[in-house]
Amino acid sequence: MQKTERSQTNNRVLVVGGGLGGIRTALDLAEAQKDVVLIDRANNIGGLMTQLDRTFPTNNCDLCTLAPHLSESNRHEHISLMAMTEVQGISGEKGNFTVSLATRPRYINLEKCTGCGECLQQFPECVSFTPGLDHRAPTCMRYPQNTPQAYAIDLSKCDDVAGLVKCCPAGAINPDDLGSNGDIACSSIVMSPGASLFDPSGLDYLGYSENPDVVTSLEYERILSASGPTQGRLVRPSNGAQPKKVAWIQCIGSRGLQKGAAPYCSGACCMFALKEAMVTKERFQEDIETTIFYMDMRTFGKDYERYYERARDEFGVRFIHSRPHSILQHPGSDQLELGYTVDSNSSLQTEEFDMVVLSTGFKIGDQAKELANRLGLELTSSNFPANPGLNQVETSTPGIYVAGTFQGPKDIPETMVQASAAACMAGKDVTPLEADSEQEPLLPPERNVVGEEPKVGVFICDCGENIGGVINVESLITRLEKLNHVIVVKAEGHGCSRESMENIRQTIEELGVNRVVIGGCSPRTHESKFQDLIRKAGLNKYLLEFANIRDQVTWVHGHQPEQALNKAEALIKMAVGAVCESQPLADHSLPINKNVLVVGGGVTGMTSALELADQGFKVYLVERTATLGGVAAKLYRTLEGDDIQDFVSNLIKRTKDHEGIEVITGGIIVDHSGMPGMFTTGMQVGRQMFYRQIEHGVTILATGARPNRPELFELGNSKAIATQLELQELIDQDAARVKTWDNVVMIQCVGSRTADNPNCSRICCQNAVKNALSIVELNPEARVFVLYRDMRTYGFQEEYFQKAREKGVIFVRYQQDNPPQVDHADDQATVTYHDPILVREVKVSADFLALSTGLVADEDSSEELAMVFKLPRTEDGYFLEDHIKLRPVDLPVPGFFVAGTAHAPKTISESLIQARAVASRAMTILAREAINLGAVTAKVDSARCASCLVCVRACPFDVPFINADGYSEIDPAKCHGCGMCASECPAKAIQLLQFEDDQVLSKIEQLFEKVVA
Amino acid sequence: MTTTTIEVKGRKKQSFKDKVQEIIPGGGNLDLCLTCGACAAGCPATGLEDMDPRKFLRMCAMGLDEEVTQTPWVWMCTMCQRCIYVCPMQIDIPQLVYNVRAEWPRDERPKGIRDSCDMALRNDSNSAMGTAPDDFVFVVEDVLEEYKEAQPEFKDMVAPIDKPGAHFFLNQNSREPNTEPDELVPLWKILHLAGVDWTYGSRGWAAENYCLFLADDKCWEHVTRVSAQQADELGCKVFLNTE
Repeated sequence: MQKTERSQTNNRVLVVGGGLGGIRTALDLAEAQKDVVLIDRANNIGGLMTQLDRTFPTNNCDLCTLAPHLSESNRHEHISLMAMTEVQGISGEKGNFTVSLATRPRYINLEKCTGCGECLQQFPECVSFTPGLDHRAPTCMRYPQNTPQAYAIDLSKCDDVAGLVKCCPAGAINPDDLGSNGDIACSSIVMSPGASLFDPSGLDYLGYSENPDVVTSLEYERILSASGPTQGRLVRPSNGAQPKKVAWIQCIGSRGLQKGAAPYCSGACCMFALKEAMVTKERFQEDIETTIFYMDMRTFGKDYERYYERARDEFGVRFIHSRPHSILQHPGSDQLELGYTVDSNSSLQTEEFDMVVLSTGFKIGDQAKELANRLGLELTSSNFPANPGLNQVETSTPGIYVAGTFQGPKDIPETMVQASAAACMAGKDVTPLEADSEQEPLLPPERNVVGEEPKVGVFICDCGENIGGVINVESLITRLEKLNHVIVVKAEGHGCSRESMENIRQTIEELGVNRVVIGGCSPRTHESKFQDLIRKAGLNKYLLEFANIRDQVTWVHGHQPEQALNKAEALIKMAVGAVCESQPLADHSLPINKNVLVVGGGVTGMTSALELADQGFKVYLVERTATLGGVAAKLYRTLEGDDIQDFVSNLIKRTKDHEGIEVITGGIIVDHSGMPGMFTTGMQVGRQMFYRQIEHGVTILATGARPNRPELFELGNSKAIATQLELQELIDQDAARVKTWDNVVMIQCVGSRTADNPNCSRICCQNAVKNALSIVELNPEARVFVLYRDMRTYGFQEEYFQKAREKGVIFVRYQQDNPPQVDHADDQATVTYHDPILVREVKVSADFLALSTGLVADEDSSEELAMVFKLPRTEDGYFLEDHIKLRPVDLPVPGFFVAGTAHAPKTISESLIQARAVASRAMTILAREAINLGAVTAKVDSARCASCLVCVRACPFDVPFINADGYSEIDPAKCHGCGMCASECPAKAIQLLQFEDDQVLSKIEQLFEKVVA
Repeated sequence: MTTTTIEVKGRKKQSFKDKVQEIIPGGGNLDLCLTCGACAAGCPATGLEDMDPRKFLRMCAMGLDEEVTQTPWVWMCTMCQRCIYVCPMQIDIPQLVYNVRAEWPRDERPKGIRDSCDMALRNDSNSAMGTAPDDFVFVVEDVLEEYKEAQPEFKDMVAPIDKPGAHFFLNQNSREPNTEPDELVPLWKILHLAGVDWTYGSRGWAAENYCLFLADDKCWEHVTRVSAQQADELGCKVFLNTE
């Protein structure tokens, strides 16, 4: 076997933990042609995310999003997956570790198990499972897309081993399995075993242990989930009735000092409570009331503030700024009574609810702690791996990196970013392997179907409850069977599960199907998976059409099953019409240019450039201004106390000295063309504006954001009023002045979370805390007042917020419609604010007023760059990533990546993580020798072309030109497949392959067939 | 309700809260309030005198010493500790209340509590009802005899007073011997059935301590010492406080 030689070396990365983060790390490395061993202690990979219902902020079905990653990680040639496996010990050092692993016996041969479920049916008690929150009969596959797609046996629960062995039709059960122990050599290790969730059983005043209607957020998630114990029906665990009133209580087990609570903020709970409340409202509309009790709503992520607004304004979720004291149930009542007080009112309110959801946060569990100890990692007082500096993914041991919730509490997008960053770091110690020349040697030859009568196979997914819960799939099938050219229609359960895929393949081969229609979910997430499938069945991958009867039918017409059924039928008929006209197409591929263009010379751009240059790629670093360093060059210290000036000057030196990096300052990008892997970008450089062009394979945008400076609260009218940025400079440069201050006021959200700029600037709360702490450190007698709307010191920042209060800093909440009033003199600012707890006005004669003005997108640069590179931006001007959750640093134009504050406001260490994440993502492209451009390109029929130049003018990428023969020519290697020329061409001389006119017309014909008849 | 604007000007002065912070072991986390309102939501005195624990703490933090030390609300607190029990920051609001009570001139503190404390100082019983040691001894012996006779299964039951070397020194709220003597018996029965070696003291037998609630440290110490001393003199191992 070719892998034997590989297994002897240590040229690989060990990834511990197969949750979403671990999978991302493994895939990034594998795509960069590096070998990975991915281990997980559970029976199957997927981690916590497999237990969720929907994920914010898109509110998409979770498993649908995750499943393609799971199966991808299982079939990637550079990844060896080891489930039920744990680290026992470690020796060696960075570049040469030996890790001993122990694999528990599964008693099932993975090679043979087909996942048919016979063992579970006959011996349910012996088939082991991870029960999670399932109250129903145990199933060992927690979800239909399980990876590995196999059962596991708990032999200790089995009385009839011989019978069990016999029941398996595949002969996969092996009672003599002893598991295995072994050492593997590796160069580096990425730890992403995840965190546990806080257990609220110890909080007697919440009644969680006694009252079934008090549930944790994860339990609520399971109740909502189609694969959960109630198949997605929302019912009260106590009596099975639909709840009318549900309350969420935030910060359970987080932001506390007693009864086992963590001192930090868990970062994700505000968002998941919003999501759960919105999904609940979505399903029951007026029939249900949702209330969230919170201390601070922490929606600090990209566009998360908009999500919060939607929950409040569109969904009618109710928010109460209060922490209820206890949950009571009076004898004889089935209601849960919450007592609470609200701001500006000293009287007790009580209210009854049917269910209460406890938003429990992240904790490092004993197992993860033990694992960290076994690896010799230094831990913080909260048992997270200690981090030596500004690089969050590093640990106290060189060569061991961390990502995800094991590093610190966080949500999925941030986990994905860290996972890629960890891949970047860990990948440095590993040499990429030669890309295999024969990529898929096992594929059968493509059948020639040209000239054959179309024989269409239609496969319908019920997608669990997602589709099957709304429409009757069987009656849909009956309607479709009569269609012309359709030779088979089948229901396939979860079509994307391994078992269903195998059934579809067999059906195609056995019946000689030559066109395939999938009626199921979105081609955006699943098209490539089914393209691969029909290719394996011997068909060209373009002989496939998708009818999205989930997103476009059942999700949006859930309350009208009959009409939904009609629409599903119509969509599938259209797909059948289109697929009958589809033709086999060949993908184009081109060699890759391995140079990198990084735009923006701040800390993010420099870090990306250095990471890539260190791994041998040539980097052009273009900075618009005359100097490197960006906004960070104006900063002095991080909240944690790192010296930024020192860091930035070192970074600049290393960047300038690196022989792999060409720094171009004073460079303004003016034009751009090409395809991923072969871009050409033109720029004007220096004072003379010399024009030069650069050829590169990928582009990284790290153009930063701009410190905001709105003219609010008398900013600019007094020496005593300034921004936090200016205050931190004063603290560093003029301590003597700071020492004279008696009273200082800070106002948060100045120019953020407003109508003009609706999003949260994310960095300001921690900045205010940082500066307040510096002031009281220099001048312990100074009084500092921070006037805020929600304190958003997420994650470990919370501990600094606590420290600031401990030092006497006073934090006061203000309402947007009743902001503080500022009067100024030359060296004084009088701030009058309303204290909602005292219900009184407070007038502070302040020696200094600092305004937290936050960041805004740099319109100057981002608007122009978006135009030149044809990139979308968010409403507030930041670059818009391809998928907020799963591809947070990939831009929608392939080959483009975004990092740092050009993506959204963030701290320096968060920017540096993104800088490394984009380096890792870039390497997944740069490691290839050629790039597949797909087959969707425009094609000119020269016989029809009148050389009218309409296409030449219409193309946003300047691809068409009139060739020597006098007609329009479009280079398929440059064509982006947008279809503009095809739609504009007056002579209909241009066709967009895969979307040709006869395909579209056939769709329309199918749709209006009845009308015509 | 005070609605005047609070003016903050000039150098910070030491406040009442700062003083209390120095007294409470560990400081009581008095600065850590997150203003979540959990304390106020569970406090039986919330809403009285337009006050609640959160507001009270905030007033202390803002240095409104005059208002804080004058509000009668501190006497409505029952010292039940429901606030600190759920407070995420474990802020010792009860201690703060206690120290405010101590600020009040003694003769302005609530008469009922003050008189009960004074009554306890009248003799060595510590009884807020003024019951003398002899009276207590008489009642206990009388009730015991009555029950031993009426309920032969408890004929061996004891209710010792000043038994030297008993393991447990038990105290007793004065209400029972004074007004509900029959209520003394259930505990005796339990102790009897459990075979416990216990005793009352003729001195310091009364368990209630109004001097504590009066925040009169000196008198509180006095009544506590009377009880403790009696237990020590008898050579008891464990002081069992039933209050």
